[in-house]
Amino acid sequence: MYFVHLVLRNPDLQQPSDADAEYVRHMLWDGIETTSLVEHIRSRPFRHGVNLGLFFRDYIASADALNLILDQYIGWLMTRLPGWTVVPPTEPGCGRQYQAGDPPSAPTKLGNIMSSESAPSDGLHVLVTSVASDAHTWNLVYLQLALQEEGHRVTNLGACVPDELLVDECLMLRPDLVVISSVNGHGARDGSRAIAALRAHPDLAALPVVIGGMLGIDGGRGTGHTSALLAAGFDAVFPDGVGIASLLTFIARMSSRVRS
Amino acid sequence: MTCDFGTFVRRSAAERILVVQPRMGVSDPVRMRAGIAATKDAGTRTAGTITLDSYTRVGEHGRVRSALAAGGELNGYPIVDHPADVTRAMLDGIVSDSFPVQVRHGSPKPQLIVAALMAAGLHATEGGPISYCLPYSRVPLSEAIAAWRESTVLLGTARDDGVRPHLETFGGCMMGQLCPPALLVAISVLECLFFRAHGVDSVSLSYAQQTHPGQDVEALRALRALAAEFLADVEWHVVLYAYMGVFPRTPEGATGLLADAARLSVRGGAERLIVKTVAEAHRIPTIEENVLALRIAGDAARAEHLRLRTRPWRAAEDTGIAEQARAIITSVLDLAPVLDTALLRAVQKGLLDVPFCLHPDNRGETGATIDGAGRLQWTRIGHLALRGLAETSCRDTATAAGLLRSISYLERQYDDEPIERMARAGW
Repeated sequence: MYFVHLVLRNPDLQQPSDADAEYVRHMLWDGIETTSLVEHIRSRPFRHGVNLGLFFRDYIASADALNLILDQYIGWLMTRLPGWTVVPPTEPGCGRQYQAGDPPSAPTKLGNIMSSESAPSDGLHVLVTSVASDAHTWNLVYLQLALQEEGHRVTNLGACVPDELLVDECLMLRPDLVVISSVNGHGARDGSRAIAALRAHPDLAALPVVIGGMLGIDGGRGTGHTSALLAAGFDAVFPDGVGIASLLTFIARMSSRVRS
Repeated sequence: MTCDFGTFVRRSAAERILVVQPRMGVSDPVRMRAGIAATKDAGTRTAGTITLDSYTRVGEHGRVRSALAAGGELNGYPIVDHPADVTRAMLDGIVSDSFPVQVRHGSPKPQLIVAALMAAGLHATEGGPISYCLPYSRVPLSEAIAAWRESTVLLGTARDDGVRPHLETFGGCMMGQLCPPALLVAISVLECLFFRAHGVDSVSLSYAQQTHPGQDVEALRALRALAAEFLADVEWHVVLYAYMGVFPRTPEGATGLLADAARLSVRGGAERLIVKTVAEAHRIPTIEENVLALRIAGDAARAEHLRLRTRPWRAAEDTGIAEQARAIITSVLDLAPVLDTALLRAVQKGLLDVPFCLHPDNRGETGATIDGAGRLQWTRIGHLALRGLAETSCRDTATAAGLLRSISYLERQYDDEPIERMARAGW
């Protein structure tokens, strides 16, 4: 699957919002047929505009073919968005190509379980996610609500998140904090792999990443995994039973450091 | 082994007998056979279940084979990786006209599973392109729709062997909690239309027990009315799932909730019930716990049938569930002549939008809560075709604490009394 990154700019847009990003995405979907080569579109607010990511199905044979298609889509967008400009992909033709066998990436939730349009500016941008093998989601929903109540802006990747998707989202979004939550007992194993993938990128070496939940199948408190996970690169570990207050305290201390 | 699943349930319904069924799956064929046999001999009208393991569900057959080679346990029966004749031998002498077996899995891409169960002589399974995609996977919906189309067509070819294959939709469950009934009813009907469109004409529509019995009875009646309308040329029945959310922890609480599920099945006209056991809140149940649950449910259903004979028939309340569900269904069908396209577009546009579902393709603009009386209510309807039909007057209580309260609502209700008694007895 090919990923192409476009930036749309509108100098009249002082403070682009999720609604603006959504508007652009819908505008583009309206111009694309369902049998088109586009698998997913992601969009998010960006400085004076919208960051747009297009995921193409992986049977585009050549860079030229991809360019033709992109020209068509960009042309469509420009007729529907007067006053906007497009910064096309810097690499000629393709963006990153995912390896065969990877579960395809998918659009990111924009944290819209609870209306969060008015996130206070002193909140952090927190990325909430699960690990590759975990399909549970109520823990992620709960975390998102708790963090939003504290005034933070949340992007929720949901369940079964492959390592590559987590890395790409972090590179694209540059969140202030990543919270990995897993309750299926495989969190320690999957989490170690995920943190290694994140820390392998120089850009993400200093990104605050924490993990919590039922991280092992041993029942009990599961604190046995904590030192190994910290050594692997996590900034904090919250094993099952510790409760959300510890996470919120950690974040509060983080925020005051970030601000000062 | 030719037992039509749909025929079996219809015959039982004509005798006013509720078919009860467990969830059950172990990797060793000998123990799996023992579990199925125990289900058959439970002492009440049952259907058997083979629940598949989670590696098979997500297609990680390398992991299945490593686990089997190492002699390890899986959390279900790996029907794809056990040879077909092993599974046939396991079922030999057990499956019959009066005891069918259904395969339950949860896979968004079930082609291999369907092929394997057919090779083993089985013809009944469950799921759906939306219901087995959005809740537990990350697979793009377009891929799940294509995969379920292929799987349904494949299953439909069983007709050439003189059997009538059967598909149950999981649409009545979705996230298991906090979804207003109209949407569950609509998804069930739509997925059965999908099955019919791709060649399977014996289906069951599901509905999961929720937090208010009166609301649930109305939902079940709405489901039956819409099935009669949209699936008139198809053999169908309704299956109820005992509550799929956080289950009571005390044995009395769990038993009470299960018995209420059986009573709800009878009052709402469901022909089949998937039970839960006293172990639900703690671990995977043993065979004995499953058999006990089947008996409890069967007894409660029989008692409810008798009770209803001597009581006047009470009409269900009408809070508009059928109307809302029909509006959702028609808004989806209007999107495209081909149902596969319509389902995909519907989710893209938010005409189907499941509250609290984090799947990337789900728009996530709807919300729900439990009101003071215990009924599920919409807090936000997003782009669902419910304008003017659904009240969203409940204040949005989607706070973290509110979520915990909603999720634990039934558990607290059913456990409170037994725990009170234990406390008073000095435990």
